[in-house]
Amino acid sequence: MSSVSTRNAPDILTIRGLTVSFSGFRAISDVDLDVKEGEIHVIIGPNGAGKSTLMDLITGKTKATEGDILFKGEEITGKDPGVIASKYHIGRKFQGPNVFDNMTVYENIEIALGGYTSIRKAFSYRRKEKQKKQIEEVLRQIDLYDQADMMASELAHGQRQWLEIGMVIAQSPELIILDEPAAGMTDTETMKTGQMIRDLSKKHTLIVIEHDMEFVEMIADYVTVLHQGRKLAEGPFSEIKNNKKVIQVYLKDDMDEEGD
Amino acid sequence: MGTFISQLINGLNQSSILLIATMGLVIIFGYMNVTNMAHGSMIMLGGVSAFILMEVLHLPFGIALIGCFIITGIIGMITEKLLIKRLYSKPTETILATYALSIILTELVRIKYPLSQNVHMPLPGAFHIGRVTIPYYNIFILVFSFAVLSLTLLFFRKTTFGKMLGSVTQNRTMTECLGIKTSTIDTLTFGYGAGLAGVSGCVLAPTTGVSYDMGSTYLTDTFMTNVVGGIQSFAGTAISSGIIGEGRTITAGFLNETWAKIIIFMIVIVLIRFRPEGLFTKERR
Amino acid sequence: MRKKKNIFSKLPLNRYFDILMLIFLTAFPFFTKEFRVEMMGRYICYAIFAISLDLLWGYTGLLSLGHAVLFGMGGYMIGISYQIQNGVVPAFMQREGITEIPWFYLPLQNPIVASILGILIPALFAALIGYFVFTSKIKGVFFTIITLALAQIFKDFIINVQKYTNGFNGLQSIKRFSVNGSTPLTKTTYYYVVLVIAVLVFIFCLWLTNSRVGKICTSVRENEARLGFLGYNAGAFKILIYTISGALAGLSGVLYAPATSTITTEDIGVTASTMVVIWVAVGGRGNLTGAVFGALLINWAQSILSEHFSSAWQLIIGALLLVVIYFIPNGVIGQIVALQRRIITDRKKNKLMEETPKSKKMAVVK
Repeated sequence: MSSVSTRNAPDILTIRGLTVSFSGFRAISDVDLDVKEGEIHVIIGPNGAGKSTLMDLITGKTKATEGDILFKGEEITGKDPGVIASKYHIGRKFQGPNVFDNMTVYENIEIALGGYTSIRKAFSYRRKEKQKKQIEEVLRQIDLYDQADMMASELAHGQRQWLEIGMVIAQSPELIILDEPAAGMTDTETMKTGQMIRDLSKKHTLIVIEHDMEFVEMIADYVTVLHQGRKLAEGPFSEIKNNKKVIQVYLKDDMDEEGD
Repeated sequence: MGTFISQLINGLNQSSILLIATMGLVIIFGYMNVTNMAHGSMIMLGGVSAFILMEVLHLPFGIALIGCFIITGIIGMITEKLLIKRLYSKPTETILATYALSIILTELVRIKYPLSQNVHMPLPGAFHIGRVTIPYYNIFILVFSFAVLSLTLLFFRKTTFGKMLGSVTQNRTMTECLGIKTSTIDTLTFGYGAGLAGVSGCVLAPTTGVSYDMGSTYLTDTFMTNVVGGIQSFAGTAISSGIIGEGRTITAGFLNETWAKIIIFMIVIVLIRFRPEGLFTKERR
Repeated sequence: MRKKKNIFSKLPLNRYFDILMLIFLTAFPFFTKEFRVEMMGRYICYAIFAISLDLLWGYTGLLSLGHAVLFGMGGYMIGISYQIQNGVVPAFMQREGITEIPWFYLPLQNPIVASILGILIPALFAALIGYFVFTSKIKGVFFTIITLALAQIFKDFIINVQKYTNGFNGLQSIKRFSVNGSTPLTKTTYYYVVLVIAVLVFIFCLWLTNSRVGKICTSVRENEARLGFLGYNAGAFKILIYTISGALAGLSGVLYAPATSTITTEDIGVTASTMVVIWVAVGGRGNLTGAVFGALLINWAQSILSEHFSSAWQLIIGALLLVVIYFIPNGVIGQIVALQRRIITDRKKNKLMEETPKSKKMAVVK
């Protein structure tokens, strides 16, 4: 657990009045969000709260119906995913491992390496010492150095999750979005992932979507709770943990699940 | 003026042929998401079945229609069981397998019937309005294709099976959780789509004759019609059949068949560039 | 990152196979009759054609069922060139009342210019089609359908503009690159010319597919959506690879027409396009070796078998394709490569397990 001091830092991402509706259904409704530079901002909420949709909006996968998304004060609302990734340096890890299966671990990271995405740059790219170092460093960060020439499809589930985190790191983004990074992992793997995320926050700002409250407690600087597409509460984890509205929503959700 | 009107009417005939030929594809490609490259061959098999039923066995046209539906429907179900089932999450392999099937079906028919076969006109005669002639059979195709369209729509919207099918295509896992056997539904749906292709082959047989290679042109025509109309939209497909059918006939009137095909092809490519979801579908999520 | 101890210990098996094939093809004219050499020369052109499809389909995952269109464009360019040598209006044009060589054919009089155009025009054509299809948000399979339609329409078109292309009959007596009336190359010399070009194409493709651009294309095949979120414009790379593939397909057509001295509508339509798909599918996609091997193997088989089964040849092809899809999905060479890969990985996994200390081992096992 860490202090709230990160809240004094300037905004890296500012969201105002964000709304998106799909044929009348408002998946995200009038959401405001401030992500401060250098923090680990965890977004929690029951199923269908709109967490992934919110990330889709930030990364340009989905276009907003209303509202603004500002990256360091610059409007990125409605821009294409490729532009948001390469020009604004926002990297995203999806729910479930989403990697290039029939390519080696090394190649996966190398492709993700930021700054060589245009055709011209891709042609002039050479694997020199600098690039090799960069790739090897990422491989060490995600503990897949020894697996570098294995196919991504040959990795265990947890390792595939790390590989995708590694791809995001290789993009050298300023803002990293991780969608349930520890999903389907063993306890040991989860611990390791938590440490990985804490290490990352030394250099990057992170938005993490998570379910597992213990994991949230381990990593979060600041927590925002979404419920039915709206912001329900925000604050440091210690406050959120005791927030009556939040407890109610989660209890209700648990009961619903039991009722099924 | 008279020639222009006859062209419009010819175009309408082309359109109704396209519509009925594409209908099965809306189900198989649009709803089931199977790129069935054997669709043209299914149409061809319908035509061949019509020839056998009407010219060899001398059965009436009405029986042949039902017969074609059943025969190609069964062939479709067998295809789904044997070939498609194992490839649902592999689009490229599905294309190849169905394409291989279409080669095999075409060749088998070619060995048996190397020449084009004629099927007699079940509804001879025509209307004459001034210099414009409208064969009765063309009117039949138009009415029939709209009847099949309405029946299919009713089937999807009102019957339990149709609704189940909708839910399977929208959320496979959830439907499975509800205890519905999705694999049986897949087989039946594929069979229905193939059956519709067979019916269209049967309807076409008297106007165009039946030849082993008739499938390949219908294959690309129907896919283009389907995509332009919106792959899951029956109504859109009806309208795009109209546009493509009329467009081609009118262009062919000015130039010739080949240039008409080329021009329509170019228009389709430009269209899908700017309206990838089809002309008549609202953008989805 | 790893030390290059011994280059051969890491080389995939198929690269040895490439070397074997090259040795075989180089020696081939020494122990066989000239007509066999001519035949093999033709198949090497087909191998280049197959490589061009492998770039597009095997590496990038874009299946074209109309690739023979691009091949045909190359073949027809060089074909027309030899119809209009020295300003002579060919008989099939005269029959249609054309007394002068049409202006758009004039540059083709020079076979060298025709060859260059035979590469450039299919490349540009591919770029154009690619632009419309790949910048659209249409489902990926639509490319396959569009290319199939293209194959049908292109054949119709060539037949339709009979007065410029001799329609069904196609173009004959295409010379093996005689320039300005010089004597054409001998069959054996031409064989080696084709072989050298094929080797250059192969090396180029080997370089390309191992370059970053090639790896990006492979990631398009693997997971196009993911690539977008890494900041790439996948459409641009698809257009690029289709253009390169188009140029190579055109080149193979330019080489093929003089090898057989004819080019007809049989070489450009749906059937021809299907054949190249089969070669690549049987040989194995995405490793270049498979494309070459498939092209050589199936064509040899066809030359021997179709004498006996000419009427059922297409049937055999269809059945063969089904067998490959369901039983050897990686193709012959692909299967061998996959097997080798599995052995290496298993060995590596075991080694990692041994190295891992016991406490860490638990986590890895889980």
